[in-house]
Amino acid sequence: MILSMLENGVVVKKVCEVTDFDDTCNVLCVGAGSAGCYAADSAARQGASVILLEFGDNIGGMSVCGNVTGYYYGACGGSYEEDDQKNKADTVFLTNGKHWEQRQIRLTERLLKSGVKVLCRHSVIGLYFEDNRIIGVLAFDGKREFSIKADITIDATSDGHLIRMTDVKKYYGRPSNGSFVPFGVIIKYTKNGRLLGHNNDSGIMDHYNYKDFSAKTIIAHADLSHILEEEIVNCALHTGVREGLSYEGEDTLKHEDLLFGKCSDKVLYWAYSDLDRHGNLRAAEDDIFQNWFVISNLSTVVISIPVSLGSVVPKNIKGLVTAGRCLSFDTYIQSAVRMNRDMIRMGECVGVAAAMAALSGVDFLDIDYEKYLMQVKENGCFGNYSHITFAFDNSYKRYLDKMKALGRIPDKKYENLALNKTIYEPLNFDADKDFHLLKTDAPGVAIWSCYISPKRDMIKTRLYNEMINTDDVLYKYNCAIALGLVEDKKALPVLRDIVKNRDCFFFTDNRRSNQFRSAIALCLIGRLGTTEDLPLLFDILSAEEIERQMYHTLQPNYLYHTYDDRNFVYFVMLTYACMAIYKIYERCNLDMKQLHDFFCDLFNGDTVLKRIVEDRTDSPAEEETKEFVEYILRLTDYN
Amino acid sequence: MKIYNTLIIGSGYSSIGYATASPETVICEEHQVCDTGFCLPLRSFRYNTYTPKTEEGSQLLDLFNSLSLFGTNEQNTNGFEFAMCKYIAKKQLEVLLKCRVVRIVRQPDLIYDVTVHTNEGLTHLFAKKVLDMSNTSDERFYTVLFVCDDIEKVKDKLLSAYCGSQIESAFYAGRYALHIPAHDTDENRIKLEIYEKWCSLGIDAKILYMSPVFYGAENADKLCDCNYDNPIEAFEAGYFYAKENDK
Repeated sequence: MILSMLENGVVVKKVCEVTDFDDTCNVLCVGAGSAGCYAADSAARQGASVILLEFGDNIGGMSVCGNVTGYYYGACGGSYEEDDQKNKADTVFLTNGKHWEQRQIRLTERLLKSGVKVLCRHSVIGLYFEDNRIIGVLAFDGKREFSIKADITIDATSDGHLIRMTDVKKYYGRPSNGSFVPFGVIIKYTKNGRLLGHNNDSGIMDHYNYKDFSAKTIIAHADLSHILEEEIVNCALHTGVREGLSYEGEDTLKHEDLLFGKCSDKVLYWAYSDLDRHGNLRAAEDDIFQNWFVISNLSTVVISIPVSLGSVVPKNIKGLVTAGRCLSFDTYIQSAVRMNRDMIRMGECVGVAAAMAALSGVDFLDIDYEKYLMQVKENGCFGNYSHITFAFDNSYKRYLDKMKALGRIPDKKYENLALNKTIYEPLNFDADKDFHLLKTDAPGVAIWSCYISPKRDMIKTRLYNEMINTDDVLYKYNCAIALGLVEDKKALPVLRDIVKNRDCFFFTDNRRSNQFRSAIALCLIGRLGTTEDLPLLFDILSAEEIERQMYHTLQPNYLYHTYDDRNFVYFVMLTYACMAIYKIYERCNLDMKQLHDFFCDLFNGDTVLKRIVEDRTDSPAEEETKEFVEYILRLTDYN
Repeated sequence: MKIYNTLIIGSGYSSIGYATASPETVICEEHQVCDTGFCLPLRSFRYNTYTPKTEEGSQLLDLFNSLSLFGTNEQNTNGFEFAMCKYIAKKQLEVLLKCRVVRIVRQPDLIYDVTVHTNEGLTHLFAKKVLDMSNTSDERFYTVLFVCDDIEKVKDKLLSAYCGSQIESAFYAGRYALHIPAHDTDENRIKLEIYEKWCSLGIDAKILYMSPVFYGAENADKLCDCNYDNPIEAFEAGYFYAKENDK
């Protein structure tokens, strides 16, 4: 038997012999967040004996200790709805239905009823392996170490604490440099007799470096002192994980598969969200993601996401599955599958499957899938989807309708954003049918439809003809963007014009995170451009650039970006210009050493940084700029 | 291998007082937030008046005052946690969050090898001294912060339902703190019990917040926040203790 532990972030293995485990169960669930609690509960309701271990004092994870009490995306259905109904009927708390304490109470009731043994303040410090099968864990209860044997173990720790004790291949953080953007401290305060929330992000940190995690969390808490004029009711005890750890699973869900409609034949459950990215460093993202998020400007399109059975199972490891935030997804899917409801429903589904595996003595992937489907559909947690769908889901319209139903006056700015919108607008991506949208200020659906159209040559011809023959600037520019996306260099002259004009026209496809035209054009010039484009691109990096009008007209607005602590337009132009130059240098085999030296000079000192963050201190933009500088210097490093 | 002068378990005000006075101190806190002694359990409603005796204590008081934490009728209890973090950041004290001590072994060279469980798994910290300043006591309380228009109508019902409890005004108008003694160590179960009892009373009072545990006074030999009713008093106790011990 091997005891595998994590020491200083490294897997350490020791040969050992355990004949008498201190405790045994069918299903051991580690981490009592939303996913963990519902996994433990559903496994127990299937008839399995279940132990649930939690590091902290309280169960519920981010929905309790992190103060994340609301929903926005994530599909409905499953056991939690019964809890929500009880919460709505409950008049004990100041706000009905959305109090974190209510969630904890409902979960406690649920776990007591289903007979789950809940052990708080317990750490798992090692995994027992027999060959490639995990047969139990070594835990610590604050006083002593003890062993638990389990048929199957669920890692629901959100940061993949158990996965990290294995040799499975792991992927950390954002692709640019492995960093993380956790959401920081959510506080609850009262105003006019209502309980409200405020989020203070912790900025970029390495979640898995305990010193960095501690220092950044403390700074995020310190920063909250500005809100003390309100009555603070509660401060979140937990920091959430965004873009955390993923790993190589028996199956890995990738965003390009999703965007092109590929779906596993063994779906664990369906999640529902947009491909949300936090921060603003889109220039460092991969091409397919940029095609969707930047060039087609479809950031807030929601997608039904088929999470496969194999994407919760680490490759070549038996007896261990994951539930919650740590899954075998690429970074883009991982940031999408994170919503409260999706976490809860995933937990419930994993619990059912884990119990079936444990009780029938088979591996997780070998369960009777039809029987599993029947059970989770009966529970209602599977999700009402049978194929991947895309839609605009207008949450502002949803908000507006709710306010009207409650007889309250809605916030004017949200009312405007919801104007003339329906809540759910399904998208089919048909180039012929969508083409007319290129004449509008929301052309994203048409651009993406052209990109994925099987009739690419015909589309190219049509786009080119329309582009050169129209006098309508909006239409011409949109055709050029679509033409650029289908990799036709004939788009270049118009794309160059957009950048030359420093065109700061923002599209309006989304309820937030909209892109502007020069940024999109720069992104495409980087892919299609030649040495001829370099003077235009270097010009953007010159000292005079910041004086241009385009950098001084945009007001802070959630419609465009989530941070208002930077010169957003300049940050975007600068990062895309750098990336475009790098791509052209690479493609044309130019002197990369010369470019690296240029970037070293450009970013030496804080001149550029000051243009971005102006006089603000401790800005997330500062960290993101530094992240980009490190990234571009690493890319161009000729050594 | 870094060797700290002192490793402290628990991040209360006494701990940061100690760390302020003694360089090369590291504080291990098993929660993801600091100040689990005063702020989180809403113990700060109970502070007494205390005049700082040191320059550092005065600085901390100035910080509290700048955030309006003392002296008016509308203090923010949770503000104490933000204030502490502000102080830690400003003084660059080393506090490790989500850091649980698993083992302490004294080596032949008299240095302590402290195994802690963190986000990086098991990690070793080394120190010449180890001080446990965490709050632990047989006397355990939970506080319910609630909103009520007429306290007189609900007071008796609450006090008789929750045996041995006390009610006090909680700074903001119409806010009260109900301190409930409890022996169970499972916070989930305790909250459920408190809730179920509250439901059965049918009173016109709504819960805003149910606090984590706070401890009654520990034996006098132990330096920890639960022995003090004022955070600055606790801070200075830690500060003086460090000065005395570092001589």
